[in-house]
Amino acid sequence: MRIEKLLKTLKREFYKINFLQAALDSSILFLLLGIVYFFLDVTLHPNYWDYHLLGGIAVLFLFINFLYRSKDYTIEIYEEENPELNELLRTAKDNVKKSNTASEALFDEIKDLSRNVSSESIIPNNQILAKTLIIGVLSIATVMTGTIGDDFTTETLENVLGTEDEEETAPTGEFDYELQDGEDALGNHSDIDPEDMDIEYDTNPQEDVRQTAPFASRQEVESLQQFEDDTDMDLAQEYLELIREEN
Amino acid sequence: MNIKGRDSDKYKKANKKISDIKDEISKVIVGQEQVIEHTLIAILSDGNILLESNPGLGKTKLTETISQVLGLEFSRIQNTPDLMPSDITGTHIIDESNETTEFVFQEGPIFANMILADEINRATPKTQSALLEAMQEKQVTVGNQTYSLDDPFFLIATQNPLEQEGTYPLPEAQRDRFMIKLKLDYPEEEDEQEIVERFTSELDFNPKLEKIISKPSLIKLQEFTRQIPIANDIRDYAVSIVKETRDKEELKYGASPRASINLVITAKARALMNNRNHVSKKDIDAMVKPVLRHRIKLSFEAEKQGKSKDEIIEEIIH
Repeated sequence: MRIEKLLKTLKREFYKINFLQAALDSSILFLLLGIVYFFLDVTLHPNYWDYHLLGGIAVLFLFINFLYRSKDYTIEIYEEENPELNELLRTAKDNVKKSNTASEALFDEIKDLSRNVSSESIIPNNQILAKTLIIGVLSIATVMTGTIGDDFTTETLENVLGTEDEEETAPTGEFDYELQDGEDALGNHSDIDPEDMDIEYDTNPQEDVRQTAPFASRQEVESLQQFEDDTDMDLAQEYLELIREEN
Repeated sequence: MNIKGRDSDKYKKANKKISDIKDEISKVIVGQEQVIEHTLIAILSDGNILLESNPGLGKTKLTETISQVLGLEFSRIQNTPDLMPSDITGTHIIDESNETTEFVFQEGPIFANMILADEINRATPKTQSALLEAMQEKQVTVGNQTYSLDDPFFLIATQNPLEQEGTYPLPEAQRDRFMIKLKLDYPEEEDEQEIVERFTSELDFNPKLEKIISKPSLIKLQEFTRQIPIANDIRDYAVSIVKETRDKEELKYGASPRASINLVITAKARALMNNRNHVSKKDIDAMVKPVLRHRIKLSFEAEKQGKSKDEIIEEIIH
């Protein structure tokens, strides 16, 4: 392997590592934006599907990040991590076109030494591990938001995650059979097709509760109509009993 | 065997030769490792040396030993105020040995491979300048004739730092032509004991030295030295150091671009001497003082503060 090839390989390894870093960063950004978008429930662009936009932002970030990371490539990066190659790689890079005995001897030495040098030496393992963990956490969070769906409310969140005082609210009395989520039983409002429904209702003002008292005769009803307010209901009740006694 | 194998072997062979040269010199010279190393560096760099030392420290012995080990012809010039340029370069004399009488050129002591110009600052400027052409152009001009000197050619000029009376200090232009300036200091006590032991046990201590390298091989080694690769940033570092001497307040004037060239070449030679196939920043740092100390001049304020040139150079490096 000629020294040019070795130097190119080292450069390629550097770009690979930076691309990996940039890919991890953009994945974090994408997942983070997805979650933020879900919670804020905003519309980024009316004409595009929002996740396409988020994906576009992430890809753009990937390229910018990669270019930013890669712009300062120097062979010294390898020299710093591999002290046995200190000054050697720089010298080889600057004299790569020379083909005299001394230069070739230098290239030979570098080739021997660089057998133990790989891109692993410049990989920031801790950073990559940390980023991978972040991606894992964000992925789980994203899966959870998918389970909740896009009709997120505090009530539904409580249903998914549970409530703190769930144990305290033991079922009692008439509320034992109350529906906890009406929409689960009745369906979503978006599923209702108004055209297929006949809604019947009566607008007759005579349907007031006071006028539809059970077992009241027509005479009783007419007599009750003169009581306008709820406050007179006791008086009306007494009056009704009086009429019944007379009859 | 592929090319890779051959190049590595050649390099190792060159290193082995240099190591053998040092070992052979140490058979005569005790201690003074740094001076020996720097002298060999200057030889590998094809440069001249200005050696500052007190009398009796073995300058002549050192030069003679090195020339023997390198298979070079040695010549010594003792500079005095009445020394004429023709005493160094040679002159035309009448040759009457044949039937026709004619002028022939009789070579002076400068026609050797290794010259020791002892106490160069005792020679007149006229004689000193005669050495300029020899040092820089590796040729001498006598009358209308120009004569080339043998290759390789090295000149080691010595100066006594103590006695300045009746001397002609070398002008800047001439000092600049010396690749490095070395300071030969008194030996360590242990080394001095060894010197005394060696040179008092025999009437004429003159061990048989092996000629390690031939003249053509030495020239090849000099070419090889120039090939030692250097990284651009390390070369720029060398240039920046030299440039800083021109901006330093404590200095009246700084070093010339020739200093930058010499700094890089000597750093290459040092790398080769230290079995390294590339120039390191350490090589530059190690050669800064020998290369720059005779090319800069302290300002009046710096002299008044008692600062030395080496101190200023150290400030520049750090």
